Amino acid sequence: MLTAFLFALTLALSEPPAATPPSIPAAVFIEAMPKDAKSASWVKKNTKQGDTVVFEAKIGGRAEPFVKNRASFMVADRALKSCDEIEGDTCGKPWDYCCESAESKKANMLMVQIVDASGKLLKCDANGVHGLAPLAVIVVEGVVASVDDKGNCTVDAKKIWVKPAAKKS
Amino acid sequence: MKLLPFDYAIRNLGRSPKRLLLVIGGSALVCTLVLGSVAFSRGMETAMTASGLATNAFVVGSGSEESVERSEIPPSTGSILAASVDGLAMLAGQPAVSSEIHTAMPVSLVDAVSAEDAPPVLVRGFEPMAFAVHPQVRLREGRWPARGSDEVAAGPEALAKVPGSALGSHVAIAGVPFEIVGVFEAPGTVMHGEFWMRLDRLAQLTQRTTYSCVIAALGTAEIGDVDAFTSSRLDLESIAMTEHAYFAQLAEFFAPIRLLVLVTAILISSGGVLGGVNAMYAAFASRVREVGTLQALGFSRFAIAASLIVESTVACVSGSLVACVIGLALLDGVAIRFSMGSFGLAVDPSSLLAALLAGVLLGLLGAIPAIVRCLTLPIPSALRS
Amino acid sequence: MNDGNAFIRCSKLTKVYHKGDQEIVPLRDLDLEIERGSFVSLMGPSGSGKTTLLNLIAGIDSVTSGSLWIGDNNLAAMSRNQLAAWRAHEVGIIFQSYNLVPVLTAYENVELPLLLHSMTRRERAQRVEAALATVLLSDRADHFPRQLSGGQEQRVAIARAIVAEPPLLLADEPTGDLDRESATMVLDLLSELNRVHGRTIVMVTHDPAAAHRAQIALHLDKGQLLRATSAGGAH
Repeated sequence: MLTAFLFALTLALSEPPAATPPSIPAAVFIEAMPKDAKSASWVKKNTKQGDTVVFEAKIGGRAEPFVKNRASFMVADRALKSCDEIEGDTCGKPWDYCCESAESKKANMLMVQIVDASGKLLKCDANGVHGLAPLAVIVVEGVVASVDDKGNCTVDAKKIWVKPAAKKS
Repeated sequence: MKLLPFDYAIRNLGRSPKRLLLVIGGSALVCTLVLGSVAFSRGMETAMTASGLATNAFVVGSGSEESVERSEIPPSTGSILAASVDGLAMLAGQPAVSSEIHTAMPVSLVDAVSAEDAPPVLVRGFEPMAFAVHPQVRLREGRWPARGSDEVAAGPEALAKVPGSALGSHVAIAGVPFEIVGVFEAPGTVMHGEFWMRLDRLAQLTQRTTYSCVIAALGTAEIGDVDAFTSSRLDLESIAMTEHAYFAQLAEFFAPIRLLVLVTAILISSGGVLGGVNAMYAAFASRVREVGTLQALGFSRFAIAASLIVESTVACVSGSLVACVIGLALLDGVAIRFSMGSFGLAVDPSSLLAALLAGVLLGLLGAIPAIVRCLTLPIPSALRS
Repeated sequence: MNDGNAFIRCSKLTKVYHKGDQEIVPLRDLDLEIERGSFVSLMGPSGSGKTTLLNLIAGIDSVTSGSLWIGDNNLAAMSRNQLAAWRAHEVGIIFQSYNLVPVLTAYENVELPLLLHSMTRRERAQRVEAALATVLLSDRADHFPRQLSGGQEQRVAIARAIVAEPPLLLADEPTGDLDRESATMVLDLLSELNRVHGRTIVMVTHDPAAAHRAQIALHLDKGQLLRATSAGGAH
């Protein structure tokens, strides 16, 4: 009787197990760079929803390329020059591509997101995870989640290769 | 360290009632101005905080994060957002998403002699869903403007900005007469000082093809969801934040103005500071021999300085208490109107504390010249004076 | 260390002031010894250095050169704070203009020096009451200085000087501002403090009658001791 009471008391006093915060699965990040990567602008022009794509891009496109608390970020075609690639530029946030026109940015940028098994966007930050950072060069292998003729395009990333920072170009 | 009795400092205050009044008056003037400027700052901050809800998403054109009045987003933004983000609050089966135009325009009475000098007042274009995202707003009298009509509703502070305006009167907005058909209130928020007209009419009046913002009640959705939406919609060229964050940022933006008000108050009050310090100096300087005597008896310079500081601080803090009474009786809630709306001076614990601290600081600083004068003199010279 | 028997001992004591470019030497190479328990008057014309000597002995002015020993204390070597602490315990000063604090009562004025000592309120009260009784002003304890006559004020000042029971009393023209009757009373008090209580008293005065109360009159001129004469004061 006493044992049962103590057991019940222990159960009552013990804290409920904390829910594990969502995070990007480590398996998403790969060591070997996928081959035959296209450009981000090529993806926007030549794919439709559901297509599997492999493309290379640089994280950036606006002052805050990463969406807070969501595994989603903006990338830019490597043909575009980020401010740090422009000689003499002293831009404080060189990943915002402020020197590019709005039209050029619209044509050369897309969103990359990481979703769960049910297709829902993961509720966690991607910034700083496994080398993901503004101006990081990445190769994404994924599926086109949406694309339209207004310049919008979102890719669900299945695998991401991050170019080592020292070799960033 | 042996100190002089507290009574000594207090009784010294009564030696010259005229000087004491001068010190208290000077301190009261300075502290009232400090209190007023902090009340201004706090009032603005409070209004900004109350105006923006943390449960609302605020979508504006990218690059216009600091001023919704400069923002331009496509009119379709609201409907696309409503269709794309799951979990938004619902009203009558519709997502609570309010598209709005915010613009400052000169408003005057229709028959005003000089409409050119009319002050700019914030005019908000709204649709009925605005009431779902702005629960602070309540209709006090009359009714809301009808769609497409030349009608406006006004907040009480907006009416105060246009002298003579009232329910039923006509005001000229951008030269076009509008009838005031309703008076609403949203106490403590910037909306209390706005004119509201229907969105379509304001778009027509301002010849705009874009809106200023979309405000959505989040419901079970999170700001991250709206942020992810605006980020993925490059065509909308918009960004999302909570309404609360927008106004907090706006409050930051106005920080230099608040600082300017404080600095101006301090500059204006420098006369009071000089008067008070001078009176305190004269009070102490007339006691040089007494200070010399205390030193001769064996009291340290520190003990004497501490006593002079207590005396000066008690006088100045008395002034700051007077300032607190003035603040609570005369300044609290006084309306400050500006183009964005209006807010009331907030004589809250922060501003009262600022006034008290100003008094303490004044007391400490005010005693320094006298302390230097009294305690740097050699004791024999002090005794001879 | 003071190796002589004298309570106050000056050796080549010199004080120099600077007033603009002008150098003023009120005391020059003064040698002097005063025995413990004696009543000494300092006399001399204005500018002779008697007040300067009194200030140096009181520790409220600094020695330029030479030595000044009072008991076992070398005043010339003490810091400002050390001198303040020394004054609180070792010396009572009586000023010509009484220098009472106007916002304090007679009782509180007398109590002031005791605030620099570690003692309870009751101990202080006993000392103050005794000091006021000595100067015959127990009934004026609650009076403020403005409510007292000049003679009474000076007696309160004497009570303040003796309340901490310092071995040395210094008086600077203590009767200078008083009428004859009050002056007599003050001088009677000083004589009694010397005779009955054994206090060493050094008094600056211009008044030959006052000087007559001392046992020794030291005559100063131009910063130097001119002569020492035996006065009429009895031990």
